[in-house]
Amino acid sequence: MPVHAEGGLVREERVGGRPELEVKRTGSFVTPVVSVVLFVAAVFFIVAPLGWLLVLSFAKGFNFPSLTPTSITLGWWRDVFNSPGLVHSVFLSVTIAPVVLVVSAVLCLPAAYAIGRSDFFGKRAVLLSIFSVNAFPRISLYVSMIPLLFLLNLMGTILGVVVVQLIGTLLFMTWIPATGFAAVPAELVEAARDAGATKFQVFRRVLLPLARPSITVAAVLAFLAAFDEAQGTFLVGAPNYITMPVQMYNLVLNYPVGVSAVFAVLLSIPSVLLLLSVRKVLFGAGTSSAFHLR
Amino acid sequence: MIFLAVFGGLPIIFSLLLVLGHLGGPNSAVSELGQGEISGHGIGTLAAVTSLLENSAFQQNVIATLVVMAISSLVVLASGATLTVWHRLRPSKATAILQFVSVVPLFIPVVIASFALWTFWGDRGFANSLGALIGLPHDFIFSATLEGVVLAEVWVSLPFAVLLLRAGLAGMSDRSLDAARDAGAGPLRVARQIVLPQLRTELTVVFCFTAVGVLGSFTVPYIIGPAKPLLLGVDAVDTFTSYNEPQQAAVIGFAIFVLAAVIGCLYAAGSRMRRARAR
Amino acid sequence: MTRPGTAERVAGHGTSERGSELVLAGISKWFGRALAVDSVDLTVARREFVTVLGPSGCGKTTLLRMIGGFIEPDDGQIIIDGSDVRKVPVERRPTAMLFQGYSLWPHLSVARNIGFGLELRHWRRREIAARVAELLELVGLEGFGDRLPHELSGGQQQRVALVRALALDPRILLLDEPFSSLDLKLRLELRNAVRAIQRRVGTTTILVTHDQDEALELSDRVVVMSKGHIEQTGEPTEVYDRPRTRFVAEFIGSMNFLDGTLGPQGVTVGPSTRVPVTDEQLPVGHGSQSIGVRPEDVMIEGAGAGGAPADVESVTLRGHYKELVLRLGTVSLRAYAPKESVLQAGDSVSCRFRRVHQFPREPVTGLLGAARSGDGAGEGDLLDLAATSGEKLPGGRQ
Repeated sequence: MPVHAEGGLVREERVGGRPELEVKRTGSFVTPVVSVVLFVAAVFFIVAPLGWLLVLSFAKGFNFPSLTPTSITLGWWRDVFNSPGLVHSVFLSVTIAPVVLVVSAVLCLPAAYAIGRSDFFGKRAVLLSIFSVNAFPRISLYVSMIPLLFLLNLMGTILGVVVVQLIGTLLFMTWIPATGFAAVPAELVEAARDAGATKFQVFRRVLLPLARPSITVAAVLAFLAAFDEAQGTFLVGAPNYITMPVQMYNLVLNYPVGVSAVFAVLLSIPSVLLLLSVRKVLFGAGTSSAFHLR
Repeated sequence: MIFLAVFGGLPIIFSLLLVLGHLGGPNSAVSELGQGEISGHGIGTLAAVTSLLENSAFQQNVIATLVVMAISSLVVLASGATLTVWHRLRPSKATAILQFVSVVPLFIPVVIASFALWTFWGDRGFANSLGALIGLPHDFIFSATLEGVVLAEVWVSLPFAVLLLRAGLAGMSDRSLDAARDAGAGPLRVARQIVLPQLRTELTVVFCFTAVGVLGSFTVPYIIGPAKPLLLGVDAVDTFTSYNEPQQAAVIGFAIFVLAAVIGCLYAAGSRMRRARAR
Repeated sequence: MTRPGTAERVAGHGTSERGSELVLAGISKWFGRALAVDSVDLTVARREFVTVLGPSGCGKTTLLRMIGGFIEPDDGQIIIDGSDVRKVPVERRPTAMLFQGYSLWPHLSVARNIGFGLELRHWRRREIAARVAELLELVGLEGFGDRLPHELSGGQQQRVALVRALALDPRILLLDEPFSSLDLKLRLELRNAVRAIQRRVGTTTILVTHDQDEALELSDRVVVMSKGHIEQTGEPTEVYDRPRTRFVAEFIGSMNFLDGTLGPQGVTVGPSTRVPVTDEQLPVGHGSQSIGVRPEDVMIEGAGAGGAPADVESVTLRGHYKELVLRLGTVSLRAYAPKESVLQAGDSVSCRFRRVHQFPREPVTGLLGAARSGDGAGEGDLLDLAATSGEKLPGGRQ
């Protein structure tokens, strides 16, 4: 590697600093006060409404503009549990969502397997269509499904609700398990086949167990997508089948705030619990790379 | 593979239906319920579409939707980027907490979130009361306003932005960031000249996804938004359920689709440009 | 905890009393409960090339990053050219680091990578271009200015990173194992280039590495670190020939360790085996110690030639020399022989030691010395003559 001999680069003995090389002081980035204010504001923006909801579910009433309720009560909770319509919607939600999950799993997991571990003709098209269904404005989809559902006599039926909720789960149940399957190193599969395992055995004994975290996360997200689905169910299920989320629309418009607040808290509990349980995987390296776009 | 064909077909059927639907074609069952239907001959007619486009209320709805969409997406982008980049460059307990908190909305069903935000920012809500207590001039009532819709859409869309940007930032080597500091760049400069340029893909995706999400948003504007103008999502559902005009509803739905497709095209064009530049 | 008399903070940028570029005094760093750097004192002179050498986890990288300002020390002073820079952040410290692995900004061209720091300092565009061209020429990458990092090979990327650091005209250049991600041949090429450039430009340089060949070959001075503290500082030959602690003896080069006693007639190993020692004999300790002998200092002669009787246990060809394992009574030793040697397992020879070292006894890590990086190239060469002719050679490494 040539090293040229010439001047200009050789360092002379330093006498004092070289002013042109001193970096101008940029000043502190943001004064501590501002950052504290921003921090508090941001946290407040996100968390406060939720806390307020909780307060409302126990509040008897407010004297505007007081921030504290006049008294604490369990009355709202009692009202909710005593109301058959509301309880029925809880029941519906809790039964329909698992059904949707199972159907989704049956449909999507084999596809996820195919996407994750093989290259087949039309793979890009399939991926694109799955992805676009989700990126698509959900409302347009539902609204345009309505004629079809009418045709098939599915409007206002449970099956129609299942179909609608199913759509929201498709992306989760294909993309995330596909990532999980793809992440299994080829060597493990080869070793199993080397030992004599059939393709199905490989799937059952190697891929499935190793992809279980991804599948679990996907199942949780899919369940929640079905459970919390409001828009499509509203369009299709009403007025015969009103699940919890759809009921919220009704509550918001017609019932006292306390009742709605209680219902809202109830509706949130499964979401929060389930998502907390998969939080590690959701934030972990696996899904991070799933989000990675390159 | 068989399953793929079966369920892969479903979305295609639905998109096909879009085309059929807006031309008022063979949707007899629906049409019977409908009022003010426009029937077409042969392939169909665009009369339904044109009548809608001329409707001034619809025009206002479109504008409102687009404005809300633009503002929400920009706010989400700005706040999500600030949050995640700040944490990447100057991690601290506080920034870590902030990042975690910013993903909390993901855990909350949209219906609940809308309701919570409505009570919080609405008449006699927390914000209103707080403002009155402190003696601020503004009402701070955001229920039934477009501003409220923006607030809520931002609240709901932030988690996705944060997650995506986090992933993008994780892909940058610590050393390249250290090297920028070593060369004398302060954090703002590092963010501007080193970090953000490398995040172009993620930033675009966040913007597009948020925009499309807001475009088709129903629950949030339904609960928090004003009665006039309506966001298109609410308009579509309303047209179907309240006015019993399924065809028109389908047209509105299609309009949303078109707007979303425009954004999608912009994204595709942008990424093609980027890929060409990198070559 | 500061040493009294250490150079104090001097107003302005005048030359310090000692004329040294860098003074570390009592630098310590804790990570949780682990003490990563234990009260380290170090002085580096202007234009000096110092290598901090040690195994992974010894604290050398932490030390380097503290000098660069990326980590704050818990205790001690860092004085560069007379000023305490401990509170000075990375951005304003007059140091520049060349990182391990790749640190170029992938979205900026080579020219913009190098010129980045200059842009920050508000140089004019023409000046930046001139300087960048100058620097690219220095590392033989003329005309590469418009390329993007991913278009360059690993070696080229590191060269760009090197001149990027030099562009800032730092007082101290810090090298954090910059060659470890390169393959062997490239590594050799690059480190020679770095040394040559450093000599020409004259920047004070601190290299951190676990590769002793690098350390011994490039440095004016070697600082051997272990478990957070400095074991020995000295010129490469000194550190090799006169290791002061058992760790240094083990870490640098190969070393045989024997339990034995050093007496006027040589080393007594085992019950009765006495090995004569020629040349240097290091200070005698009391009683039984750990005796260290480098394989190249084990002189092999024909059986009955007057040294201690030994048997050859095994012979391994290592390219241009052979490595033998000798059995001396109850003790096994490594030694070298030239490639042409006809010795085989089972042969009887006699051996004497050319130079021995002595260390306090410690838990035995292995009689045959620690693993060494590099292939000990060259150590066998001088033994050609000794083994075949029985002559003694002047002691010391070549």
